[in-house]
Amino acid sequence: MTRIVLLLVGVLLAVACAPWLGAELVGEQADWVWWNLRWPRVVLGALVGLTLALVGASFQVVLENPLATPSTVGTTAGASVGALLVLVCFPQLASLGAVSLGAFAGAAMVSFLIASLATTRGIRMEDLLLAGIAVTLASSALVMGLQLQADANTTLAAVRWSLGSLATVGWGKVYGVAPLALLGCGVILTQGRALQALVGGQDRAATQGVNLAKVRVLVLGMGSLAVGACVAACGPIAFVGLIVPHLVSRSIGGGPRTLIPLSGIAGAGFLPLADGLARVLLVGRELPVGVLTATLGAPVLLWLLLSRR
Amino acid sequence: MTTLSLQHVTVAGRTGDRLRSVDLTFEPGQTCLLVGPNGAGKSTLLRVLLGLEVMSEGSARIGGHNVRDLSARGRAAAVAWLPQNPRLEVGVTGEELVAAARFRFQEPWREARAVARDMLRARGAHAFADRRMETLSGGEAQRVRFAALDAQEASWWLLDEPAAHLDPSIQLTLLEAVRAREEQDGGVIMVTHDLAMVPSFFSKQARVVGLSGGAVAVDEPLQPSVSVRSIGRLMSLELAEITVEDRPHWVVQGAAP
Repeated sequence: MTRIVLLLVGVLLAVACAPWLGAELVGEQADWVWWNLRWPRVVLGALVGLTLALVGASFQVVLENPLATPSTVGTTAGASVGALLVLVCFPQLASLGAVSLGAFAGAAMVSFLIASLATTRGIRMEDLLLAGIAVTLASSALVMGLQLQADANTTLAAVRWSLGSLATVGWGKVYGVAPLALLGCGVILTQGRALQALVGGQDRAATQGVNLAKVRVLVLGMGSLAVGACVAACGPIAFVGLIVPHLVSRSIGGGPRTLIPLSGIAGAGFLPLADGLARVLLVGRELPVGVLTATLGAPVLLWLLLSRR
Repeated sequence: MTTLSLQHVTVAGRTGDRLRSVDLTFEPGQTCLLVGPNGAGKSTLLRVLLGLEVMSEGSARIGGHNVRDLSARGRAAAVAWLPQNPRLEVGVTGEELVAAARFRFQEPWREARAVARDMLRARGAHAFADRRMETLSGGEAQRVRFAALDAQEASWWLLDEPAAHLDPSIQLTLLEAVRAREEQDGGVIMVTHDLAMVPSFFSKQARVVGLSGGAVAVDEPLQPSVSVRSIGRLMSLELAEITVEDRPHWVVQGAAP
């Protein structure tokens, strides 16, 4: 209980402090920057962090694999292909909105594929992960092929998008991401009891009355859609969905019913803070937050694995 | 109470059928011991009744309904299962595990936890309520799982070697739980390899079903002096019956000649 309260206080502090990170705001632009650059960015970070961590935690339960995240089942890869297709095929449309739509369509298609695979009779969860890896490999090959075809500007835009960044002007992205992200997280939270029953394995949960097909479709499908919305707006932000749930389960523990919402809360604090750091680490320019989470994420993951027991 | 039945059930496996044209009916409140060599299809038979296996032929029925047509919750009301070597439920406490087993009731979580606490107390396992499952010993964890079976309040318990790998005193505790269940007229189908305990254990008339190569080879009311021969033949063992303080026991003398 104390640890949960500590986590909540920490997250509130992180979110409250995040907008203060960065150069001191002076002059007549200060107010505008504060309300249209800093705060939307923090809120977007909290929203994306919440979604990635909560969905990651729930995927790890449903797929019965501690390494499962939306990236491992191919959602992120699908989004990348979608975004790049728009950039390459319709360069005249290549506004942020169109790229996001393309990314979202890609993620949605992969989500649909996963959800229909997940309800196939007799499918094992390892099969789903393998299918995700296949989708990811095929997508990265496609992405490389597309980049070769594209001109330098498009390739640069694609690379920029693929680094993952929370940079935003105004509240547009927040409004764009919020409905699907919150809907997806909400639907997953309604499945807490079923996910809790899954700790004894899929078969045992089924004999206790859990409708496995329904849980899989709701969690994998809606989770992928929610993440698709995030990736569409911000690009893929690596490792959040993997590391935050592991840190929470390590420090607080508990069953999926508590672990999943707590991971979401922790993610909502983690990402704005990481983004704040990415803004101030290099003097004079900022690092895309995806670069920071990936660079920090890999060693943290290794440490987690090595310090197990 | 519910009747369970299998009609001409065949389950295909990679190297031949795992069940071959099995016809069995389990009357409400019956106690049935399921025996047979490894790979005879005992676990598969339980899984068929639970709706976990795809049958290539035949049908499994719970109270007249096809297992496949029942909702997951409907099945959970009829049959509760304790698998062989259950996976360790990492992260949850004993109380959370037992409460999770009440999924079918759609009651508030607080209520499920209260019931779980009562069930653990009734099993003498209340000390494990707030402990994580991974911190319990094998025997302690299995006692919590029995409380979870209680909590599901199903008509039947399908137990797959529930006492395997546990020390004898814990085996006895668990088997007492099965016996208590029998006295309350709850149905039990239990897979067991513990032949020494078979003849004397159950207070009322039990039934013994023996499987061999996926087919029913023995199906009779358990009478120690008769069953000793049929079960011995089934298991390819020379079994002998001895009597200690007026109670029959079986001892393995060696492989069948």
